Amino acid sequence: MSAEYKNTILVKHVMRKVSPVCESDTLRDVALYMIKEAAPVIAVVENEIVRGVIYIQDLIDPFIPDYFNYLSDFQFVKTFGYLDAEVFSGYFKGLFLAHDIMREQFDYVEPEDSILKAMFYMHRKNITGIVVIEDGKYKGIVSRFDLIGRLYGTDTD
Amino acid sequence: MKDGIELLLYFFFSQILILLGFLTPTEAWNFVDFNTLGLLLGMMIMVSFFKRTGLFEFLAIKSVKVARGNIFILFLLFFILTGVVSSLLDNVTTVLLITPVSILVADMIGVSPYPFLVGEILSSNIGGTATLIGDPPNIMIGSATGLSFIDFLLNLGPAVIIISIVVILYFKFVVGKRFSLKGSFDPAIVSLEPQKAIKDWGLLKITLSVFTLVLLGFFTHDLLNIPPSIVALFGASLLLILTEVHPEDYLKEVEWTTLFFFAGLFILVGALENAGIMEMVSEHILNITSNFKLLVFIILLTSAVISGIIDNIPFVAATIPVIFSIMNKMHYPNSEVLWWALALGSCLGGNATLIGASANVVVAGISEKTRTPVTFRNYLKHGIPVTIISIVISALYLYLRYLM
Repeated sequence: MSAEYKNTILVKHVMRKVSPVCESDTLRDVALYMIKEAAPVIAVVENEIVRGVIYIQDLIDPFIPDYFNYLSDFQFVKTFGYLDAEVFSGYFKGLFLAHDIMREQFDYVEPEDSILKAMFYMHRKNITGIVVIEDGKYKGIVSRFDLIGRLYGTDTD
Repeated sequence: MKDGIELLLYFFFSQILILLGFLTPTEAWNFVDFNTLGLLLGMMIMVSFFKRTGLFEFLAIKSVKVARGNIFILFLLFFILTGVVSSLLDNVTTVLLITPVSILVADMIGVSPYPFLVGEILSSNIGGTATLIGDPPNIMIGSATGLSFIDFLLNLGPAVIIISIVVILYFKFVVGKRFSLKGSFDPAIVSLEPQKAIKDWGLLKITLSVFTLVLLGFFTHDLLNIPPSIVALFGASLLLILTEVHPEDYLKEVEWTTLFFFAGLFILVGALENAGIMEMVSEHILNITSNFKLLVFIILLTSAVISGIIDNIPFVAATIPVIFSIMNKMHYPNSEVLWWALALGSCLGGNATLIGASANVVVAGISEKTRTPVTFRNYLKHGIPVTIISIVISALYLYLRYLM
């Protein structure tokens, strides 16, 4: 398989306009919106300023108990007994809003950047998408699927 | 584990002392105890191999199976496992590997992990007291005095076993009433497969074989006239050769900050020694009392109290030359007891508060976001009584065995 791409492809050629969410939006609303838009990342905007971003992974992470990070593997476990149910019931007690889980430090690209830059961030940071910002204003997102679509020629453009 | 600021402070002040002429650069170099550093380095490398095998997860899950639904037996097995592993490896690694499994198991069966966590903190510090390699104070005492692995085991081991039994009874009758140590096992526990915790059977076989050899070396180092550091470094080198893994993969897991912290500390204490401070301190102590029995109890109690509040490593490093000075002045028969008092006090004192030892802080960190976190305040309720019990038992043990 060979990828056919032109080095003139810019972020603005592949980005999608996905409306941002607000800090006060509930996680349920954020999750449903991300599913609807098939957006792996979404910007959290307040007064036209990007306050943070939320990745799909960020919606999963809070369900995982913190101490799991100290266990190197779970091959020895099939089901988690009481924990299976308790993790889910405990989760929404402490976290309700987009503000609670958004990442305040994040990478972004600009519309005039080469898509190679977006690809680099996704590769280096192991992220599935990136937000596009210009002059401090949110413009949209680029996902791995958007890039692959363009790189492998399945894009409708 | 030492943080960067502590390391920088020791290094900064040791350099200042050299600049001020308290000691020459050559003297500073000579004050660094490479036996201690070598032993720590060798053990750190071996620990990094153990981490990769999954052995401790295996043992922890096996304990769950052996407990057969009895929560107190499970607590007991975790307590013993932590103690035994801590006596052979460093306490922080031990709790890092065992604590998450115990929280997971407690969560799976729907009981509070709190008694398990507190038990593991206490057991790691108690277990570490038993051997030359169990805790940094013992490594430093062993290196400075030439006392062997067997000496530590024979002189501190019995005290540690007695203390462990009493602490287990304390948990059974005091803590067990306040916290749920009862419960029934969930089918999830039955379905746990310990053998799947082992990540690399080949590596495990090699690591266990080499570690057995190293233990044999520790048991015989006195007879063979080989310092423990050489035994540990030999084991580490052998593992690096036999596993054919790039040494960089293992060396990056070495806590270099801890090693440099020790080097800086040795220089600092050396400078104080050179300046005659340690002589002055020993004279002051002897002015208070030259009664040997009283001196033993003062060292035991002082080291326990100080170790409960601050890091016991600098305290022990500074106390070693003071004890040497006292021994030189008084020529007590059976003066070896002073070292056992220092080891018992400084290791067991770490149980008093949550900041008394690095392992305590690590467990508290892991438990932070669980339903029952170990906090400074709630830990004190058990840390203080257990430390008092441990020190009283130690005092009785020292008196009955050596001073009567």
